[in-house]
Parts: sequence; C-alpha cells; structure tokens
Amino acid sequence: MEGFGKMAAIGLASVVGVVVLSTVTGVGLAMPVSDFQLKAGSIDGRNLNMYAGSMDNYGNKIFQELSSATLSQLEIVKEMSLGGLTVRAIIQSPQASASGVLMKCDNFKADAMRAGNQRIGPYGGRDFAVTADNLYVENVSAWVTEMSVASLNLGNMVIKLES
Amino acid sequence: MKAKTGRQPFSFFKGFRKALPLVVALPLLLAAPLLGNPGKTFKIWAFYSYTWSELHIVGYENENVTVITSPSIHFDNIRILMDGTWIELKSVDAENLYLKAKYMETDIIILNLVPLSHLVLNGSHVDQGIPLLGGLLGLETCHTANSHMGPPLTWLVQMQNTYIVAEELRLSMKSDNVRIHL
Repeated sequence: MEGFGKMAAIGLASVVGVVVLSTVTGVGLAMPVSDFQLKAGSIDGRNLNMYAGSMDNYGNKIFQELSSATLSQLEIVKEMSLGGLTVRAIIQSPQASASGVLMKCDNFKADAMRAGNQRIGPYGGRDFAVTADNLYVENVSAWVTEMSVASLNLGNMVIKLES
Repeated sequence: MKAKTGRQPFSFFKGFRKALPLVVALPLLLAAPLLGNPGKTFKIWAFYSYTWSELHIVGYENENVTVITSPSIHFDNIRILMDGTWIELKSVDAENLYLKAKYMETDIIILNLVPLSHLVLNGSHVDQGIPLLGGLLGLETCHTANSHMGPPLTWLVQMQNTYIVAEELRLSMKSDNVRIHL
C-alpha cells in the first residue's frame, strides 16, 4: 500500500511537473500558453495596443499587446484536474521582464493605472483600440486564455504545487 | 342593375397613401450616400466630473462632431463600452483631454452659480442649452457649439450623469480600480 502511495505521488508530481515546465518554457519560447490566472504587483509596459477580438475572428477576447514590460511580484496560477484531484501549479517571480507580449484574456483588473498619451478610437489599424505610449498598472489580476512573449526573463523563479 | 365585378374604381388618394412610404423613403435612400459614413463610435458614461481648469466645448468643422478639450479634468465612475468590451474606471485624473463626441448629454453646473442645466449636444448642434449663460458661452439651444462664439467654460465646471457617443478620446490619465471585461 505504501509502495502504491509512493508511485501515485511520483506519477502525480511528474504530470504536474510536465505541465508547469511546459507553461514556463512555452512562455519563454513564444509558444501560446492557455488558461491561467495572472497576478502581478505591478506591470510597467511600453506601447500598449489593446483591442477586442470579434466573435468570429478571435473568439471574442480582450487582446493586449506590449512591446516590453517589467513585472513585479508575478504569479501565474494554473489549475488542473488530475484523476478527480484539483491541483494548482503556481509559478512566482519577484521581478520579471518581457518583450513582445501578447495576452488574450477574458477580464483584467487593476487597483491603479497610469497611462501616458492614451488614445481610444480608430488606432493601430483597427476601428476600435486603446493605445498608450506607456502603461503602469498595480495589483493586477487577469484571467488569461492565451499568452505569448518574444522573450522572458524570470528572476528568482519559484514553482510550487498546491492541492 | 349593374353587376359588381369586385374591382374597385381607381382612387388617386388611396393610391397615394399606399405609395407614401416609398415617396418618403426614396429621397432618404438617394441622399444616404451623400450624408457620408456615420463612423464607428463608442459610448462613455461618467457619473460625475469636475475641472478646476478650462473646459472647451468646440464645434467641429464638419458640424457632426463636438470637440471637448480640457488641460486637466477629474472623472468619477467612468464606463466605456467599446466593441463589446467594457472599461470601468473608478476615479480618473486626466490631463490633455481631447474628445470627439457625436452626441453628448449631461447635467452641468458652472462656477457653482448657474443652477443645474441639462445640456444636449447633437453633432455640434445644441439641442438643449444652458439658460442664462448659454448665449455668452455659445451653448444656447438651437445654436451651434462654437468656441468663437464665447469664452470657454472655465473654473469649477461640474458635470453629472454624462452620456457621450464618441468617435475618439485622447488623454493622459491615472485611475484607481480599473476593470476591463467583455
């Protein structure tokens, strides 16, 4: 029985480890990573281009593009169901930087926001878009359905699992 | 006695009544391309706003848009509906505001002196103006909002329950409690 428990634990850890690693490397290798909650103490970004995807074209999501961003207290939480057991894989980094960010999300919340030269209207080749030269947001929480970045630097990264 | 055939004699007035919708619609259909593209718009609701600085309400050259500018203005509880996406901002300090509005409706107080007035701007036409100061400010009913007609609304301008159909908004801003959702 003890042996079975150990095997189950190793199996579970392996599956979760693969998911976590694929999430991290996926983001790092500019591959789209889907369905996770993103939290950040702050995001300081450049050249914001935000627009809504139409239902038939882009699945009716909010798209946010930033040419570069510095994130503090980054936390990515991905929930998985493994054999009836719900596991949360959490990736944390106190300081991260990224370039070429594209985030497709359902919602986006922030406690505070500053935007320089913000424009709402027909911008970026679209009928409706929000653009800004720079964007600073604090205490961010967003449900991200897909994210890709051209490059990512995660400082002092911690990966942990919660069940 | 003449047998009834079921066919009614032609009545000019009956025929005209039937053709009336077409008579009304045809010139509109023909004129539609000449009216130009109404343009893509988004909607803004603001519960409360005030400025200690200047607020300019300026008729735009094509008469279909009113341009509103302010070097510095504060908004509380703004909601923007753009292409199915809601942007909600609780408390906004904005600088260098530039807004192109196709329609604007607001309750306005100037200098804490003029009583609450309902202002309605349709294109650059003032559908409902500001009594007393309206003439001086170029915001009198049945006139066109035009900066050349009077000074800007300045100092202690408050607006409540504002609704705007906008073409374009530009500003630098900071805000508390931002929420973007579908």
